[in-house]
Amino acid sequence: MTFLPYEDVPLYLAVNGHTGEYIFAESAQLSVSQALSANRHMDDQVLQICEYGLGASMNYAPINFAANVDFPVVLGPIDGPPKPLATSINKIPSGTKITFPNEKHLFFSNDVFPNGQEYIVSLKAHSGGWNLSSDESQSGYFEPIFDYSTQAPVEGSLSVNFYVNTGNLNSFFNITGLSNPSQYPPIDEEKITGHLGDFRFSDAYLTDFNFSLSPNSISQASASFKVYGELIHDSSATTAYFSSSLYQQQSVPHGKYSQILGSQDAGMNHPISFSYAISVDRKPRYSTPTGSSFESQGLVPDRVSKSSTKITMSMQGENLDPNILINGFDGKRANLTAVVKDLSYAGFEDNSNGTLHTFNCSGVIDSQSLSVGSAGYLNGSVSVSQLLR
Amino acid sequence: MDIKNTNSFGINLSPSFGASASFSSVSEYVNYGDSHSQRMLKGINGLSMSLDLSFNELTDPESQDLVSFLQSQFHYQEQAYSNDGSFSNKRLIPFAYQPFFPYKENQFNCLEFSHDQSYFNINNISAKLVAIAPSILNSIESAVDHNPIIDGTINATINANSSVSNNGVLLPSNSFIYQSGNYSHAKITSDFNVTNGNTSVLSADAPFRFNAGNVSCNQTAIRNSIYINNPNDCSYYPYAPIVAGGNLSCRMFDFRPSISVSLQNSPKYKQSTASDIYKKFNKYGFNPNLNNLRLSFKGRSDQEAKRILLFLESHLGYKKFGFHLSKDYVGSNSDIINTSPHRKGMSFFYCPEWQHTFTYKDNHNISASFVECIDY
Repeated sequence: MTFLPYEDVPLYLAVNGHTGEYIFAESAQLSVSQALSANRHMDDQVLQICEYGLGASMNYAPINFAANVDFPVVLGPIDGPPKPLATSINKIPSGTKITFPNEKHLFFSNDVFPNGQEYIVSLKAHSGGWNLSSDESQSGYFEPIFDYSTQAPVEGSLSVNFYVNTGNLNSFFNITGLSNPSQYPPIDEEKITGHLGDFRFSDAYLTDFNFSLSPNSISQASASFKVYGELIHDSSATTAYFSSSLYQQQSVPHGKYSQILGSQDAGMNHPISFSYAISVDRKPRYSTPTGSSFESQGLVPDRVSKSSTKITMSMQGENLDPNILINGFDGKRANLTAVVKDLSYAGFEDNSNGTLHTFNCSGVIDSQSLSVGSAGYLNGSVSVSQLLR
Repeated sequence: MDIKNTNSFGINLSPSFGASASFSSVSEYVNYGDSHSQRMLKGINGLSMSLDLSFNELTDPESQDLVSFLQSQFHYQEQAYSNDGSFSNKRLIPFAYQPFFPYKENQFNCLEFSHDQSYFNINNISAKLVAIAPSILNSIESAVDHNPIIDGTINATINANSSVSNNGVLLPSNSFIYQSGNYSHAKITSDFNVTNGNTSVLSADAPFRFNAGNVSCNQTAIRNSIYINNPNDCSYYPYAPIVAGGNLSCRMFDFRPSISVSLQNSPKYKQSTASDIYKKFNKYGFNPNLNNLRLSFKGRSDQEAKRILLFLESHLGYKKFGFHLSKDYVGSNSDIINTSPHRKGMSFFYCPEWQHTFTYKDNHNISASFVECIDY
């Protein structure tokens, strides 16, 4: 048994049909789940015997049981007609005890998998010289293994904390980006594929992206994806990992030189922390198959639509402008820009790119607050939100 | 104003899960005393089907195509006359549509639909489709016991050559055959498709004694369903159900409802009308307390749902069948107390309407109205 260390579990993401990248991730979590509920049918734990034999007459005639001798019984109420075991049962293991009144017990001779079409099962007693009266034969109680039905598709999530690199924000992290620039309408709903370690997923959709900045600290971003369909184990998935670009020098965003522009409009000259979040509402469309459910249709969505897209920026600083009604009752406008930079060392051997990415939010201030504590300073914070789509 | 016409020719999308099909019968009833009754469909089109479909998260072009098609059904054209003087283009022409599992392609009209434009490029459309002129004459299903006109006979020897007579049989693997005269069964392990008069190896597992001899088989090329695709995927016990002292004259509905089941009691009684104030209540007579049930069959697999739906369809909304209510609701043929139904060991029902919802893959919900009737 081997536990894989962090460095042996790469995260690889790609827009469907495109070449992807290994992600410089601090942590990642991948999960899928399936909503299931146990089936329960009327009297599914009750065993009634209407005849010993194959069901030719339905006249109940008690038999004297012999120890450990299998005998067939026809299931159902006295006088018939017979009634199969409930299909809510997945399996009755061989040896399952059936308890009848007056401390009498019979046992299933074989594993039974009820299908609604078998009227006869094989039972046995562990001791001989006794029988079941007709009343007793109608009240056998047993505890089977129940069947389950799927209530909804297999769905899950992928969460990743990572470092934004230079260049265009990878479209698999860019909610508003386009994997195909000529696409119309310009809303990219393409799925994301990839793998975490050796576990492949094929239908992931970005829903959230956010990061925060503060002085003298590395800026880490996080992204969340909805994942549809099952995970597949592929031991060949990570074979190219150690020769990938991930093992080259990386530039990491940092708060030292990163800038927040527009904070003065909110009354702050010295922002001390900043956060950015963009999220989109996504809904899957599954369609019903016309043939058997074992067809792949309906397992993963035909489309995962994008609707409401919101950006929220918040920042903390030394002050705030409390006049929230300056533009009337329709919200105080604010335009904030975050310019994310790395440590900007002098030479490339120091892996310096300067500006990595710029993020904007042009919206309204929807909340503001002040706080102070002993041995501290008065801090103001504002939150700006923008409905992008 | 209609949506932009895209000249779409049909419904090319599959509905979302949660699609449902509703069936109902239109019957004539003759009621006699002591809760005896007779039923008969009003006509050959008396068993109707409608579909409630939702097409969710459609793009604008997809929704335009669908709405355009549904609206185009009602586009009025200048009247044309045929040679005999009748209008030739006045009729609302039904269109062919392949519904979801387990239904077959049929002719439908869409008389009601709605289009919800919920966001940019996101549309939800719901449509109610009505099957047009379905005929119960298309239901070819053996009622009870062997019918040599439509059933096949297999001179069966398990895992050996077995000959077929009466009609050719189409037995897919996992079907069941039953020995005549009892309930011993064999499960077919590979398809047994043999034409009348021919022989092939019958591969099957028979866990109990299964004597060589003739067995009846409903699964033939003649078998047909009004609405269900490939009815031969479904097998049932083909003979008259055996009870103490004889056989039943109708099939048994062997599917168990999901818990919980609510059993309402509304016994019939007679009430005096001599005075508005003083009321006197008298016993009704025999069979006063027949059940009127609303049963749910939840979480059923594809195969079980198909078997339930075909069973209900083949009883056409008015034919009776036997059904064990629960272990606690049992009568006796020899009971000297006149319980309801009178001197019967079990209950008989007919099902005038039922509804099927495709919840998710291999998960179907069926709800049905079972009306108790007397087996005479």
